[in-house]
Amino acid sequence: RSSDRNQPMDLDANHTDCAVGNDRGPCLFKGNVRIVQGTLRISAATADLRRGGGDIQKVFLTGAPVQMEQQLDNGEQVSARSSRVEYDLQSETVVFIGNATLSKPDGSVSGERIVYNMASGQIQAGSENSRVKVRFLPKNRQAKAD
Amino acid sequence: MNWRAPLSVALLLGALLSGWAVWRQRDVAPVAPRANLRPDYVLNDFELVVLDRQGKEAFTLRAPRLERDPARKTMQIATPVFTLPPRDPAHTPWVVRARAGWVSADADELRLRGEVVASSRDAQDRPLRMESETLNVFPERDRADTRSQVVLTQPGLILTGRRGGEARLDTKRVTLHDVTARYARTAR
Repeated sequence: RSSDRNQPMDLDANHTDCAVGNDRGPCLFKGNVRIVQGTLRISAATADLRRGGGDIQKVFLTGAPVQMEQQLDNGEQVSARSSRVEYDLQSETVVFIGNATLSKPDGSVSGERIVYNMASGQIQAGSENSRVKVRFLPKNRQAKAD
Repeated sequence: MNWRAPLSVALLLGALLSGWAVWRQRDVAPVAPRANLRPDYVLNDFELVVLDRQGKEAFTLRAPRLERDPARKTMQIATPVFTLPPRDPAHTPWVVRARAGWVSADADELRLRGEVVASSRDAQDRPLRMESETLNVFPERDRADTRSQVVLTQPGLILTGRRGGEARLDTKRVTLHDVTARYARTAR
């Protein structure tokens, strides 16, 4: 949801190695990382949080795969997975890298790199040496697919 | 009467008893030494500056009472307040307080027990606080560790290590185990 951005972000993990003496220091979470921020849910193997000005600026995640789910303002569910994820909280953009797939009720897109803007819902996919696969589900099939 | 049977039973019991006694004396984890001897000196309402081997301030200790154990040369302190100065001027000091404290003979280890609070400030001059029930501090190595739950708070962040962790006091780098973290947007 668009309100997710202003919710607290809760994480849990097996370990953390965190530089707390400096706002820009890395904070690395390792092992069964789970993140919840409003309706946004992410599970990963590692998460590296970068702060600035007292807020989280970016999160770099790795996993086998990293999995993400979020509810949209219209109630629909979007889900995605890939080997790596770069989540920029300031621009509300999530970049899925490596064997990436993003699915919504009206279809899905797969490729090596998918850029998803959470604010506008815009999706860009593709990279130089890899093809993109897009699947649109017809309206009646969408109801069945739900 | 055949005395062999009772005698061997008695011998068997003796062997079992001595075996049990030896097992009881096995290597038990050293309990924080208590000054069970009469202290050789007692300080009341004092401030103590402890120097390291290079003659620099290792830490300053203020407390209402200190008892020194003459045998182990350790110190038992009531409600201590330790101030640990940074070696690098770019870093900031730590102030560590607790219900009880213990200082090793060489003053290279401090054991804080009960409502331990360690406070400092980060590079942006914002408060930084660690709370736990136990904390072991090694001033000369700028390290601290605990196996108890530890909660670290600074504006916008609450970091909890349910199975304790370790901290570099100089660079303020912490490693925590079985972690939860809550990041809240700081008020604009």
